[in-house]
Amino acid sequence: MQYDNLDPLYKILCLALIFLVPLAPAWGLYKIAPEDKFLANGTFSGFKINATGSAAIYIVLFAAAYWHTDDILKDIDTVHVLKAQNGRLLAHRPWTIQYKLKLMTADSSHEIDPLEYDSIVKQNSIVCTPGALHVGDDAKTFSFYVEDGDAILKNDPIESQIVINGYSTSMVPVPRNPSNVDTTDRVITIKPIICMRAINKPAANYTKANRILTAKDGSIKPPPPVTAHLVARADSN
Amino acid sequence: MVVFAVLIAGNAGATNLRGQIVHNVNGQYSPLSGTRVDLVTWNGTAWVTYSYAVTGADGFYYFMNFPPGLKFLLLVAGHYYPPQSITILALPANSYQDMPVISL
Repeated sequence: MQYDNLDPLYKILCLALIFLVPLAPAWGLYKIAPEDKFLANGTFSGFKINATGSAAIYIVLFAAAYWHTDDILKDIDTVHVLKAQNGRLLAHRPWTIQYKLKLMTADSSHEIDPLEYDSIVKQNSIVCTPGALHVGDDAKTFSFYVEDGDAILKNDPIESQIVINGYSTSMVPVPRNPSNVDTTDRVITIKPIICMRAINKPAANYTKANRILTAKDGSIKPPPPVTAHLVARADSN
Repeated sequence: MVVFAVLIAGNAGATNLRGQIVHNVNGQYSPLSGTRVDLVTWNGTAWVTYSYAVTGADGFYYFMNFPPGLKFLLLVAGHYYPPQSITILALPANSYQDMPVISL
C-alpha cells in the first residue's frame, strides 16, 4: 500500500498516547492498592524485568501494546488514506439538479392544498429523465443527478422531463449558465419554480381538426421525415 | 378527473401540445384513458421516442414546454400518426397546439 506523506507529529502523538495512557490506570491502582500485590518479572526485549505494584501493571500493559505498535501505525495510515480518498470522491461526486414543482388550482390563482401533494405526486407514478428522480419529503422538491455538472456550468443545456401518468408530460430544460449553483454541495437549483395548472374543464377549446384519424390513417412503419403540409391548428385554452 | 398542465414562468419559446385518444364502439366515440402516446422525433437516422404521455380519464394527453421547430410523429398502439410528420409551432404562452383526434 502506498502511504501518503503523513504528518509525523500525528504519529508521535498517537504513540505517546498509547504508551502514556496505561499510566492512568496504574496510578489509580497504586492509590487503590499501594501494597506490592502485583509482580512482574522476566525479560523483555533483552531487558531483565523485576517490578511490583503499579509499575508492574504498567510494564505488562506496555509490553502488550509494544508488540502491536506496527499494526497500530498501519491502521493510522489506513485511516488517513481512506480519508484522503473519501475527500477526492466527494470532490468529484455527481451534481444534483433540483427544482420545485408547484401545482396550481384551475384558475391558476393560487397553489393547491399542500396536503394534496402526497396523493398526486407519488414516486411510482412519475417518470423523469435523465437518471433517477428523487422527490423530497415535501413532495414538491425534485432532484436528479448528472455526472458532469461542469458541462452545465459551461452553458451546455441538459433537457429533462417529468411524466405524471394521466396528467401532462413536461420538459424541464436546465437553463444555460444557471444562477443558483452550490459548488460545495454540488447542487444546481433551477429557477424559476415550475408551475402546473389544473384544468377543471379539460381542453374546453380543443380543436378536433377536420376529421378523426383512424388506424387506416396510421402506419406500422413511420413515414419518411418530410414536413407535412397538414399542421395541427393552434388554439389557446 | 383533474388534469394538470405545466407552465414554466419566463420560459419563452416553449409550446404545449394536446390531443385526444378515443375508442370507437358502434360509431360512438368514447375517451380512452391510460393509453400511452409516444412523441417520436427524427434523429437523423431513425425515429426515436423523444417523450411520452399517458392519457387521462378524458382521453387527453398533454406535452408541455416542448421546443418549437421540433418535427414529430405520434406513436399510439403500434401505429404512427399522422401520415406525415408535424412541426411544433411557436405559440404564445399558455396556448396549445392541438393534435387531431386519434380513434383506436
